[in-house]
Amino acid sequence: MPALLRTALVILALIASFTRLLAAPNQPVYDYRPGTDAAGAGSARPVGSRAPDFALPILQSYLPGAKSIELQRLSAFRGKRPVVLLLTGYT
Amino acid sequence: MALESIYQRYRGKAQFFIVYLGRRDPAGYWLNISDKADLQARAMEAKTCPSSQGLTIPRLLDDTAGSVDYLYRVYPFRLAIVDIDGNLAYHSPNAEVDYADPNLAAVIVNMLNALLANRGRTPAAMVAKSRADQAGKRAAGLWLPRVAYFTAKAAAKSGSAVTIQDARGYNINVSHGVYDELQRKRNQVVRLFTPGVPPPTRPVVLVFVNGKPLPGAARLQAWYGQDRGRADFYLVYADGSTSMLPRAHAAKAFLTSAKLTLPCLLDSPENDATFAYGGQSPRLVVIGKDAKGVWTVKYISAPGATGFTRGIAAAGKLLGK
Repeated sequence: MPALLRTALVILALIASFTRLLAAPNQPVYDYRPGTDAAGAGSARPVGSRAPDFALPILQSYLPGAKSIELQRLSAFRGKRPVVLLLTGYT
Repeated sequence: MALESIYQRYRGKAQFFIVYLGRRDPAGYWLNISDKADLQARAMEAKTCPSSQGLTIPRLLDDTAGSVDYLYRVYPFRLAIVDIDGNLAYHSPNAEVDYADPNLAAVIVNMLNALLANRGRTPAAMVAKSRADQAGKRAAGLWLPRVAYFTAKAAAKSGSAVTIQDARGYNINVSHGVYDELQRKRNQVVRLFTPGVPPPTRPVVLVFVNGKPLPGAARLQAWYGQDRGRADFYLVYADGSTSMLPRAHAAKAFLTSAKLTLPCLLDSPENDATFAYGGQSPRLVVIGKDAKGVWTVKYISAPGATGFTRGIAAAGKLLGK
């Protein structure tokens, strides 16, 4: 009987985790895009506030001949060096 | 000094990146890059982008969700300088900037020199200057969405295209559905004390909360009911969530449990509005015009629950004058 109970519990746990997986919302990671406002992209963030971290592919990862995708994380430079970011599109 | 020269001079002491965000679609959104082939196209664009020719600064590609565009509020250009603690030492106003702009070069050199002279950290005086954490200081810019920005459902519309102006003032055609959604979202963002935004017409009361039970909530609600005709009241909600949708739902639950009906704005995931106004919750701030017509902090409550509840009475008297 205990073995049967254990099996039933395992099956229930599997069903529960699978249901959670299915129910996980497919939401964008960043769901607030102030940059879409016609009056500008919002106020500058205050000096001293936490700089949002990111992990982005380096350009070469997507150029012909690249064999792997190399990601650069901003926080990799914490405690080491300041980082200058020039953020822009096609100009 | 040209940007490339600055890079060569400082590259051993600071890390430089150009983050390429792609092209925007007519409605102002960055084009939705969703697969590897598109990222390859974006990489080729970044490589051949005319304004950055001649620069050897390493380049990164914004991801498929437009994360950096969102996180750094870019349009059409931002310069961000991050210190060794991972905090922003500089976040430029949005501007049309050319890489050859001498002001851009001067800002980078001055900021890097200031950081390097302080072991890579942002000097405390610069941080203090940027914050609106004392009476008499200039109000910090806010650009915050209301809860409904995330929770309200868009009405489905159909019909012919509508001509609107995009973010740069160009006429573009969008569908009714896109137009209505853009309008709805724009109407749900509150912009205060920011260049290019009409100033408020009366004092502004900001109530910073963090989702924990709010001391004096009933008194705050009573004060709001009494003085809402004299000032614009906003609750600024911050908590530990890193995404806006759960934050919006948590804010709704907070309002319900505290029985508050103040308009509620959501701080960013980094809680930078709360940081700008002192970094403490709960906190009450009254902003009004000074003698020169500049929007300044008139009153800010002392930290802690007692400071907040006393602040309700003090700020109420201030508005009543």
